[in-house]
Parts: sequence; C-alpha cells; structure tokens
Amino acid sequence: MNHGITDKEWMLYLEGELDEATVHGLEAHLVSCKACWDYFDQLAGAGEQLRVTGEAIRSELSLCDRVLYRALVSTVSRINRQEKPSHDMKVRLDYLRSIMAPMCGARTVERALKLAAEASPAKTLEAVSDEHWNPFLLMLTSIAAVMCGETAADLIWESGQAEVASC
Amino acid sequence: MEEKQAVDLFLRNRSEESFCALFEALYPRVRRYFIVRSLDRMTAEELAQNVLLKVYNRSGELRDRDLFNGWLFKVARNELLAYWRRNFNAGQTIEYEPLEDDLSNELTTGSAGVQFDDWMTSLEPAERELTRLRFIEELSYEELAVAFDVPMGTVKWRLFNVKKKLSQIISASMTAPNS
Repeated sequence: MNHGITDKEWMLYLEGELDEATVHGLEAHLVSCKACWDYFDQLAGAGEQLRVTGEAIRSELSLCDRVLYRALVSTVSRINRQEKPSHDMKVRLDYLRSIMAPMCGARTVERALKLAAEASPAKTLEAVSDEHWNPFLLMLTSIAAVMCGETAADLIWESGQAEVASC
Repeated sequence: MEEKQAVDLFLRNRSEESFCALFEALYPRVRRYFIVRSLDRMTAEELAQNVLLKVYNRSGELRDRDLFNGWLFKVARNELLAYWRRNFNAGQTIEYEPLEDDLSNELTTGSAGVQFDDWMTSLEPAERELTRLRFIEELSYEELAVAFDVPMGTVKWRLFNVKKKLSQIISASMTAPNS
C-alpha cells in the first residue's frame, strides 16, 4: 500500500479500469503528493519504455527474403514428405556428392558431409535420416558457403530439397 | 498479405498456398521469439520451422480464431521447453530457459535487445517470458491468457508486478549519461 492506494488500485488506474469516484480521489492525492506522483510516473514510464524498446527490437530483427524463402521451401518439403515413404538416404547423399565434388574435390566433400552430420541432431553421417535431413542440409549449406561461396551453397540447398521432393 | 488476413485464409482453407501466405506472415515473428531467448540463429530458424509445421498439422485444435496468436506462442513455448530438455542435463528441472548472463550476445539482438535483456535479469523466468510476449510480440491480454493458461486478470496482475519491479531500474537507465 502507498498512502492508502493499493497495488490493485494502481493497476486498475494504469489500465484505465478504475471506477470514476476512486479515480477522482486518487488524482486529487497525486496533485498534492510528490512521492505518489513520482511512483505513478515511474510505473507509467516503465510500461512506455518497454513498449518502445520492444518496437526497436522488432526493427533490429527483421528477416531477409533469402532466409525466409529457404525456410519456406524447407517447411513445405517437410509437409509434402509427411505422408511419403522415406527415400534412400544413400541416394540422396550420393546426389549431393555429385553436385559438390566438381566444386571442391571428393575428399573435401566427405569431410564437409561428416562435419555437417556431426553438427546436426544426427551426430553421424550414418544416422542422417528423414527427420534430420533439414538441419543436416542447413549445416552443409553453411559449410559450403564458407568453402565455395553463396552461389554454391544455394545450389547445394536447392539440390538437397529437390532430391527430397522427387520421392 | 497482412497477418490477420493470412491467418483467416489458412484457417478457412488449409492448402499449400494459404500456408505459404501464413508462413510469410508468421515465420519472422516466431523466429524472433527464439532469437530473443538467446538461441543461435540456425537453431532459432529450425525451431521456428518446427512450430509452423505444427501449426499446419494441428490448426484443427484451435477453438477460437481470435486467439490464434496465444495458441501460436503456446506451441512455440512448448517447442522451446522441449529443446531445452533435449539439450540440458537430464537432472535439471526445466520450466523456462536457463538464465543467460551474457548480455553482449551479438547473435541475439542489437542495442535495444541488449537493453531489454539487461532489464530482464531483474525478473523471474516466468515474468521474462510474459514480458517478452507482451512487449516484443505485442500479444493482447487475452492472447497471453491463452498462451499461459491463466485468467486474463492474472496476466494483468503479473504485468503490473513486472512494471513495479522494473520501474526504478528503467527510470535509472533512461536518465544515465549513456542511455
């Protein structure tokens, strides 16, 4: 309680839900009590600052079209795959090998595949399955972007999704 | 397409086309939900995709279309809890995210995010979750009530207590020389 004003009354006042008679009494008190006025000012100010900062965060975390597109393709592929039987994982991985080998060599491809699997929920290349395919492909794409550039990474991503969609 | 329009379209006619519109409207928000909880961007993107997939599969569970956002972030919150359970010690009780002390996590947000995270360290985990959904994702009181399975009055009361806790801290940070 603060000078006879309860927390509940403060809350209702801030929400604009306090009854008229109590509002009159509260506001009459605020006019003459600096402590309560400062308390109200801080409460109202906190709400406003949280709102303004939240708005700034939304601006800071905007999303580029490329990331949105990739995420959409990945999710739609997962939806389409839900009712379909699992594709041969070896065939998928071999397809990726055939795409990547001309760009960076067979040994580097194997190393990249292994690293991507280790960094994904599958943990090993042998354990990569339908369930792990997208996180594995995301990791592989990131590795390829560093090794061969964004264009190559996009090609690998599209190839990985296309191979899934073909089953 | 605006978010509300995309949601209405999808709930009326669940198709790949309507889902794509819904995805474009919602994915940035859901991804942001995970990023501000200190997940790296790749994990945030993966979990956001999982949430949208669940929206596609489970939209029939939604009873009141007007409370879609509350249901959406309830799904997101459950996804986050499942992620923490998979990735932390089995002996820990995970109710909300582990406390992040590193306020300079540049993977998370810019200066506004750092400021916000600083304020959040004064709150309990449940209060942090409520505050982020209210002020970053702009959920209404009704939607928050759905997301947390509590009455709307409880939501208002908890947010009032958050403002009480933060009022002096925020006031001080606003008047500090570097604010």
